[in-house]
Amino acid sequence: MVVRQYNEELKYLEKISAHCWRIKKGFQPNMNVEGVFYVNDHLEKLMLDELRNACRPGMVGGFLPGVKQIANVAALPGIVGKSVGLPDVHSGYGFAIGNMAAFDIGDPKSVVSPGGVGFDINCGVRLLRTNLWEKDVLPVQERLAQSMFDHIPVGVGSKGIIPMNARDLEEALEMGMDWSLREGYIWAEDKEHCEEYGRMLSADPSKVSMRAKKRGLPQLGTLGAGNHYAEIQIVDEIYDKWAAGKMGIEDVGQVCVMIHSGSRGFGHQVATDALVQMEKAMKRDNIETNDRQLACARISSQEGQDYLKSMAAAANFAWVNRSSMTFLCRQAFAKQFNTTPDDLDMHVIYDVSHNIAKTEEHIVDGKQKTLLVHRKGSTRAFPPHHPLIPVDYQLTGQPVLIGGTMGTCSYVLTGTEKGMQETFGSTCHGAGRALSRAKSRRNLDYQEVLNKLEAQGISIRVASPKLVMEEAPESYKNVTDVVDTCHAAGISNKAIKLRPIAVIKG
Amino acid sequence: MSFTRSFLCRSQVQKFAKGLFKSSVSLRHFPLYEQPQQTLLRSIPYRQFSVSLVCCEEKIEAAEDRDGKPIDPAKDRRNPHPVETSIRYLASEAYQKCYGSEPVWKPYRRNHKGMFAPRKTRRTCIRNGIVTSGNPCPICRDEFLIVHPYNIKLLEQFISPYNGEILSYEKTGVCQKQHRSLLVAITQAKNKGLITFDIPFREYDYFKYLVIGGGIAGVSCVEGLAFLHPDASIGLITPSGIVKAVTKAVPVTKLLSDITVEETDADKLEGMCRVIVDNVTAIDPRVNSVLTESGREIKYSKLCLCTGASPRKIWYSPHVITIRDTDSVETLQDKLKTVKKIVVIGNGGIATELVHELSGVDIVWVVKDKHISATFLDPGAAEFLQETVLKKTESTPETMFKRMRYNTEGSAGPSLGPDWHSNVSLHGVARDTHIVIEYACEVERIVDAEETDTSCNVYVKLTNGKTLACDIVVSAIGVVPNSNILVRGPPFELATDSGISVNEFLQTNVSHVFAAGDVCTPRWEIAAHWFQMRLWTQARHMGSYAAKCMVGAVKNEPVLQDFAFEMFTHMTRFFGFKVILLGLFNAQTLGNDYEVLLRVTRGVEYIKLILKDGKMQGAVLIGDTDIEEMCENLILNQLDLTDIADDLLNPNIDIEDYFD
Repeated sequence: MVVRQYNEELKYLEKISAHCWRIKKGFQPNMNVEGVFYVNDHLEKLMLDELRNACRPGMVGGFLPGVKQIANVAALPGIVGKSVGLPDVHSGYGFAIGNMAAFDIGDPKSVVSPGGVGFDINCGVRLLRTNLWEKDVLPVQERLAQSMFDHIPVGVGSKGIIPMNARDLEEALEMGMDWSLREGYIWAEDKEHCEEYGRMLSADPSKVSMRAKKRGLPQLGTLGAGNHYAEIQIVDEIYDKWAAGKMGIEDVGQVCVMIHSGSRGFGHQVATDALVQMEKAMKRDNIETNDRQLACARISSQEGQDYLKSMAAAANFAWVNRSSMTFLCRQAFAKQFNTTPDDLDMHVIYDVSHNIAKTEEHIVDGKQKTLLVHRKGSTRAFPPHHPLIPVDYQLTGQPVLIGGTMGTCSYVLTGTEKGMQETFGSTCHGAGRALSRAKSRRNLDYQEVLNKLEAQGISIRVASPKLVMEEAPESYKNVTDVVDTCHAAGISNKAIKLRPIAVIKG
Repeated sequence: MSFTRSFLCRSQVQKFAKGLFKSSVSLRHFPLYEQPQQTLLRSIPYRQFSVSLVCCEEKIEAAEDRDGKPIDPAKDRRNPHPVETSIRYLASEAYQKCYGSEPVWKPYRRNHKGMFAPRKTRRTCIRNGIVTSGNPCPICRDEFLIVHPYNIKLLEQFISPYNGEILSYEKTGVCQKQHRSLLVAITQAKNKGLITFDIPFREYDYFKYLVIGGGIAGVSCVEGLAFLHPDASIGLITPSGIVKAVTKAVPVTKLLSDITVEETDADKLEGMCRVIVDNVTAIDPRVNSVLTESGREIKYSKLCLCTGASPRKIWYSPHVITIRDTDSVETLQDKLKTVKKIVVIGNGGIATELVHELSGVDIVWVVKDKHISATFLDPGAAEFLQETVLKKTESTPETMFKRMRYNTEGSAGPSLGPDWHSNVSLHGVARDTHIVIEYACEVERIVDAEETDTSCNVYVKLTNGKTLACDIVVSAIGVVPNSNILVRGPPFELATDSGISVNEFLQTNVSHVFAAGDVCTPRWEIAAHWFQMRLWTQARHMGSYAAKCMVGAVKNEPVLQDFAFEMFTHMTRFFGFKVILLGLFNAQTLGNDYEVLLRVTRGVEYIKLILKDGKMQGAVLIGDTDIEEMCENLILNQLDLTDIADDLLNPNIDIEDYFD
């Protein structure tokens, strides 16, 4: 990492519009393309504060600020267009979370990087609508939440609610939501409203390690912990009545269910296995990166292909996982209201993934190219009339589901033509954190503890608040700020705002 | 009489037999003239048939046979008694005296040459109304036994209690003629409805899967079996009517869950399995059966032993209480009503919770390590928690969650688990709680106080020279696997800790027998971040994994080893704090070659991460840290964290979704 003064660093950054900054070449070494990031005033301050803190003397190692990570990605071989940072960008392993980058498949030097997909492969959000209204749900809110708790299996041990053996898992990895459909967990229409129709055809379970399968088997149909959740939400505000109508949202007060989950341990293991393989491949093919965490391999190489195939399997796993939970949510609702999911009109509005790499056709410099688009913490947002979006949304553009962190609002956006041109049809995915003052008021105190531990003669590193954020009131990236920025920048349009009334969390 | 014969030499037997023939039915006429035999025979418990008793009372007419010889009245059957007499006779005292409660054929023995009796009995014992045989059959020898359809008491004695058919003459010894008449009479009696027979319900004690033990492992195993193989017959043998079931498992991370354990009536498992309340006495793997105390022999196709472990007992004294199961807690509760001073021995989870929960008594806590709770915690974490312990008098707010309910009065219940005390009030009589911790010492011996000594009940002598006087001693010093199960055939292979050693599919060395939970010790090559500790979490994992292995073995499907054995996970509560232990949380097996990352906020959280070569090996998370899933993934992924290790616990950074 190049260490410069903050003021020096700022020379490489240029504000090109009210909501967009450009990262010029030279900000980090070997940048092949420029970087770009979208912010509003508040987020801009946070981004620059983060950078300033990293520039203070004595700061070596540790987390790279999001801006630096975007620039490091721009230095990867084969990248085209630009490395895009979305408003919710924050540090992550390798790629920043909220970063998207496209690589030209036609270029033999292009790479694929597991860091650009993330560990929780095909982590995503699914939104179900109902024909219930707030007044129907409020009286039974507690019972409904409890019923969902009871239905959605708790992610531990071997008691996923879906009977699964090793053979089923192989099939599920290969077939994705087609497996769920065959086993009767979902409706045929559900597939229609999923990215890729809920199945990545390139999946090859034989490329997945045994350890990953073992790790994934008990977790199928489970929600997981951490930032994953299922929420019962109420439509709070409608910005685009026409688009909302196309999605089956009629008015404020309608009840929806949002499921946010991913491939869980399975994805983690696939990514870890790939990282080990790719480190070897990088040495062999002499691929240089600015950051060790950006392990990658040529798309055409054996490692690259293996990773893409196993990643596709993990994506299928995540879809089956979300489908199983869809099934369970429908059961819970049907039981509570003593009717059928059909009568409750519990259709999937859409299912987006925000940790994935996909092969897509884009126009780059006036030419159509086949690109491998890495989206990490970033959601696909295709404009109206794009061939890859379902027929129902051909006129509105693809719905984009933005889950807030628990307890905050969620949004539904639609893709725009501008987004297609500027960000390869990508937009934000939710709130961001990593560097957060919200929870950081920790009062560290450990002298007696250390005295007791010292007898062991082990090297002990104690956490200290060396990275003090001056005057930053809260570094947490609020989902409303993030969504407003996307809307203002024109990379997607706000359609619906939802607010949670019950959260089910693992 | 047969049993006495074995004591006699051959010549004696011959003499004895000779006398017997002469005596005919009426054994009262037994030859008394042979003096030497008299003493011998007195020692033989022969039966006196009341026939002659009755006979003697009647006036016997002198009779002659065809040859003019006088007929022995005892052998005369020319005028058979009416059936009514026989029925009365069977109810009489004379009959009772003669036969007791046994069937009439029971004391009868056939005479024959050689070792084996001829298959058929003689054609008849009575010819022309006279008993011609020296040893007439059991019916012929007693003139008052009349075979008749109304003589039900007699007929019933010849009916097998198992199938309702007539017993074979080979067994009863009746002559062919009487046998035929019995057949006729029984058929007639059945036709008349005088004899009915219900074929007894035969309980086929066979289960496809049999589980022994109603603890957490056993119940998890049954649940797993019912889930994986719903059509199969499943049996659960438990010594008490209470079983322990995980009623709710709230996931904390992928592998780790906060489990709620509830003791319930075994009936609640009905529907999933058949619960048999019984004690197992032995296992016979040669015929795949289990023998129980009540004499049942239960067959199985696959057996799983979940017999658990018992608390280690070293000192035996009425004032020493060993805590492990529901029962002993009740004893403790009972005793606490009067005590003022208590000594707690042990440094594990139960001792820790006990010290936390006891109030109103003086406590001396004897720990063998240099810090408290050494089984789970490092010195630093202990220090963190200790403040809460010693500040007890200021009455710390109780934040314990109630997770366990006792709804039955249990006997020898299964082991305790987290929060066992939540429904048990543990209060003594003294006002203030005063806790003293004796570090790094053990108990040398325990002596009961003299009767006259009123100040205390028992003295505890420690290895550091101190002697403590106290009212009761609570010992919570670990467990011993209940592996001493009687096996017919080659015994179980035991590990050094006396647990039954099992392979990676939880199979024991005895075929078709699996073991899970506290009773077993793994002999497979264990994963780098897993080790065995006899805890509830592991019992549960093992139970459900055993179910998978058993079903896999039956259905001949390949079984993948459960991922729960890749990494140690445990969650508990100490002193009201959530404590999560992951991987090699105390740097087990790492020697001194590791690094510790630490973050402590007094009274709020204690985070310790163990790193080796930049890779995370284990973690201790106390308090609500929210990073358990991240730690779990990092331990399993073995990601190189060298560059960011400093920032992992940076208090300004929320690390949770960095690795998303």
